[in-house]
Formats: sequence, C-alpha cells, structure tokens
Amino acid sequence: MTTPAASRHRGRPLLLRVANDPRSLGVALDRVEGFLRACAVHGDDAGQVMLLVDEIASNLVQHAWPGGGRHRFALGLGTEPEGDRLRVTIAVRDDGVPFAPEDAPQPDTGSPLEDRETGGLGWLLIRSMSDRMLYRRARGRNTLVVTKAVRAGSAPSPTVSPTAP
Amino acid sequence: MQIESGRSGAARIVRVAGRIDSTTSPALEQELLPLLQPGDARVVLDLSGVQYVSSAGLRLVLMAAKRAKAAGGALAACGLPPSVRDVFTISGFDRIVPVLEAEAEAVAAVGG
Repeated sequence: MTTPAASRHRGRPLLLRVANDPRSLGVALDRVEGFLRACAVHGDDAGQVMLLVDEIASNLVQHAWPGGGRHRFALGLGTEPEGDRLRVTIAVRDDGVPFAPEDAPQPDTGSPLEDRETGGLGWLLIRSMSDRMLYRRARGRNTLVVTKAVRAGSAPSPTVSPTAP
Repeated sequence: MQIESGRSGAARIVRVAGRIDSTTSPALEQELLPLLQPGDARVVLDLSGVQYVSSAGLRLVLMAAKRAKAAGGALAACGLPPSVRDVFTISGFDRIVPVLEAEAEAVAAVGG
C-alpha cells in the first residue's frame, strides 16, 4: 500500500538523540508514533513497535548510567518491505555500562499476586514481541538491534495526544 | 494518555486511553493509587482505548492489584485490545488480574 505519507518516508530512517530522562523519551515516542503512521504501519502493530522502543529505551534511561548525570543515546528506526509486510528495525547505541540481555533477571510469570515481582518482564516482552535481537559491545559502546515484521495498512488505532509534560 | 474515572455500583471504573508506558505510568499512578482506600478498593481498569501497555504499566497494574487486595477490594481489567491481551498473557498477568471482555463482567468480578 502506497500513500503519499508512506512514499515520503520510504527508505528514510528516523534518527533521534534521546537524553536519559523520561521527558526526552516521551518526546521520542511521539516522534516514533508519527514515523510509524507515516510509514503506514498497521495501528495494532505500531503499538507493539512502540512497546519495544519503550522497553529498550527506558532500560537505558534507568540502568545504562548508574553514576547519574546527563547522557544521550542514539535511537534509530527504519522500515523496509518484506513480502506483503514491512520489517521494522529498531537500533539503539549508547556509551553506558555493558549489559547482556541474557543476564536479565528471570521473569516471574507464575507466582500468586502477593508474591509476584516484575523484574525481567521488559526483556521477556522484547524477546516475545520481536523477531530478532542482536547485541554487540564494541569500542566502549553498546549496540542493540531488534527487528519485527509488521502488517502494512492503516487500521484504526486509538487517537493519542502527546503527553503533557 | 487520557484518564477518566467514574463509578458503577460499589466499583470505581478507570478508563484509560493512549499508551501506558514508562513515560505515562507515573501520571496514571497518581490517579489510580489514591482510589484504593480501605473499604473502597474495588477498581475496574477499562483498557479498551489503550494502544499498548509496556512493563512499566504492568508494574503499576501489579502495585494497584496488590494494594486493592490488601485494602479488602479487588482490581479487574476489561476491554483489552488483542495486543494488550497478548502482553497480559505473556507476562502471566492474566492469572493474577481478572481480565474480562465487558465492563459489567469486570464490575461483577470485583464484587461491585
């Protein structure tokens, strides 16, 4: 499906510099939402991509720089056709502490309410909702690339207003 | 994110629209947790207008469900779009929070 908006974004990735604070991440998610809409990603699938971006980026905001201070990381999104679908690629690069996705805590998905903890749920969702995940540490930087095949189309999705600061 | 709250019998209904993630869940927390008072902690989360719920949103749902139970009430969710339902299933939240289709069923589930 080709729309003027989709044509405008075809092949042109979204590249953002995001600061390690929730407000900056909120602005980035608004930009991601607009990008996915312009690329004509199906509304339900766009929500799943945004979930992936929030999990990946909020993890950096919370854990990448344990010493505090203001830091920025690079966030990139791109889409390319894959049969009758689109493949979305999400990439982040940061100079925070090394991490390994496999070292994330084992999520608790079975305890009763009183004992339930939420550690590791973010990584569980990333693994479950993406198709591929590649992590690399090189020259003092972490790079994480996650891909997901999504439907093209413009199914109705909830109208979302930018979050007030 | 938009939040509306109302009542249905003994239950509070909290309707959320938009995204529930690391950037918006603090605002929802401020609305939701004060509703959970001892003796008045039956809450239905209507998520029919929600785009997605990330792990930050799940953390809040868990906190609210624990508080509701401790206060003698309960929390249930209704109207989950398919991808939000998937998140509840993957995370095992559908086993600790009643997930219903219709608001009336969720109100009944919390004893409203």
